[in-house]
Amino acid sequence: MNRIMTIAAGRNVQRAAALAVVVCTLLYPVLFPDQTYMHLIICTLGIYIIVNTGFDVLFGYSGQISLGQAGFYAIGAYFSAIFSKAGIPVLASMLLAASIAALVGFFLAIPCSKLVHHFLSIVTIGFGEIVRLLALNGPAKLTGGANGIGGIPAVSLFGFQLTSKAAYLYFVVALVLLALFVKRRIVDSRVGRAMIAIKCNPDASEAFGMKLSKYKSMAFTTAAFYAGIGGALYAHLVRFISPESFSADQSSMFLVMILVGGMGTFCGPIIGSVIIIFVTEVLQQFGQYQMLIYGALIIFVLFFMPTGIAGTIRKRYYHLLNRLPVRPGTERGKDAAQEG
Amino acid sequence: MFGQLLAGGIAVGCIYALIGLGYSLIYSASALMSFVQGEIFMLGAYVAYTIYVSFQIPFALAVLLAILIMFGFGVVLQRGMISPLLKRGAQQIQIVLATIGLSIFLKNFAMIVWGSDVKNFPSALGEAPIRLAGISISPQQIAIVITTFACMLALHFFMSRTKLGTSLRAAAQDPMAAGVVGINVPLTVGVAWALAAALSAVAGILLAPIYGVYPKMGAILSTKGFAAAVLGGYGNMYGAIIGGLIFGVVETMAAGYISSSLKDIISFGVLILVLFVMPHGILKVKAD
Repeated sequence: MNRIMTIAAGRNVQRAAALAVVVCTLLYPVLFPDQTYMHLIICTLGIYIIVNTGFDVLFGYSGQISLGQAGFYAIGAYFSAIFSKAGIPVLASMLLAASIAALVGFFLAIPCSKLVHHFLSIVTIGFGEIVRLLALNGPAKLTGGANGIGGIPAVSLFGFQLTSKAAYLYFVVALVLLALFVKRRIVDSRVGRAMIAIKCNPDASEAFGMKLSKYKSMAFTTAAFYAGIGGALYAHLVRFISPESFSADQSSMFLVMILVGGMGTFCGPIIGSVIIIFVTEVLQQFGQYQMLIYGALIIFVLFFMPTGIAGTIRKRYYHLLNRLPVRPGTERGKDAAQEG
Repeated sequence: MFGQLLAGGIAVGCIYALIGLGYSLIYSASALMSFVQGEIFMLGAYVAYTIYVSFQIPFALAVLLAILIMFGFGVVLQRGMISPLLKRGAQQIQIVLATIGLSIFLKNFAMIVWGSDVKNFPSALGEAPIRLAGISISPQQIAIVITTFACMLALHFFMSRTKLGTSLRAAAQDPMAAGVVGINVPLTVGVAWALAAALSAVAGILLAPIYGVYPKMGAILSTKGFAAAVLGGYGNMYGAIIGGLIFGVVETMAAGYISSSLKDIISFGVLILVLFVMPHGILKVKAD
């Protein structure tokens, strides 16, 4: 296991692995053009990765919990659906919807930047509920009430209609890569470091001249934008949305994904999304016992990995993954020397 | 109209206050957030329903038994899940995750055992509304208010007058110092979780005759109970009561004067506004 982790820590190995995953995903619809259900799942997975990647900026890096990500997700989905049905080009309406989500996130961050822990939890829960109820009880002409919105147009790119799931998959993968790249740039920048500093010690960061509310609201806006893009992608993938898809359960699912995968890491949101999607698909065969097992599984995993899957791996192999110096002569030292 | 709504609001607010009290107790005793209170609320109602309706045991005895069972459930939850997880190095946020997992488990457990239909829980007090100064109040609403205030008084005296209650408060303030002076800290934490579970179960049993018993009854109530606890100042017993009553009255007023479909939007909106002005809740506690 030590050897595996050492190999996995190599930058070139990671790059090769990432490339392999992307290539496999891209080749999948070509090799298996009939498995449209799998295409749908991969698309959903991509959407969740985008949402969780943004959520990680908020939760993992800037340390603010949100139990209302489904609210931003819903804003993205609903606005994109409404705009595109009104005749605005789909891409433009997706971008517009995500911008609206970001704007809402920015305004929500004004009260939220003063709040911590449970205070922040309940405000974000309340926000998620408000959005869902507005979709349910708002102007029925616009949101369709409990019936939702159907007949959402498909994405058209350079004159091509992406009606098939396989074509949509390429679109989603491209956006996932873009989302991951942008997140990397954000967290590696001065802003990202400021967020981490504020998470670790808000008082000290403030003393160093960082404006807490500014960075906290930046994180909120980013997460909202990502969730908005995810929601818009979801709306044009399924092409039917209803308030049911944006309940508090959806918000806690995002939280579960990010906690299982590990927060504050590049791969964490990806791993978490993959694991949870995989588990829910596998558990589908158990029918009414599906969610029962799912709940039990969460507790069971926590007993063996109390800090989540990624957290436990990171703790155990911290020095290897961060390529910290180890004593020469030991087996670990030899591994490190070979690798370096 | 106003008096009628106020009475209804206070009755609903009492339920929120009972659930909120549970959140506050857990937080002050162990500095943790539990997301399973709503499901304990639901389970309490189901256990009481099963004992009362299925086993035909007299109402008072059935309720008492159900509360005792849920008290025990709280102990088992703390001893069997929370405490071992903490010993294995879980952080606050992983406890949140574990309680989310447990709440998913319990919700589906109830759905499998009792079915997902709404069970009618007959009120032991009859349905005939009582007219009082132009306001009609159902006996169940009176029972809710009386029981809630009895619970709160009992809790107040338990916390301030008994040895166990005082040691519970001491352990909540500073577990290590309390341990040094000979207080059994794990016991007090267990008692706090058990009391929280019992209070949620009481709330569930009180509300069951009005809305019936069904697996998802806890989901929205737990959010509102949590809102009550936070609004009043998290970790503060008296704050949870005030928060619950405010939340209940605002919600009922919004439903009566504006629109019942917008009531939750308005009450959560008010909550966000209040927290914007008072980021630590109404009765200020230090949040860190």
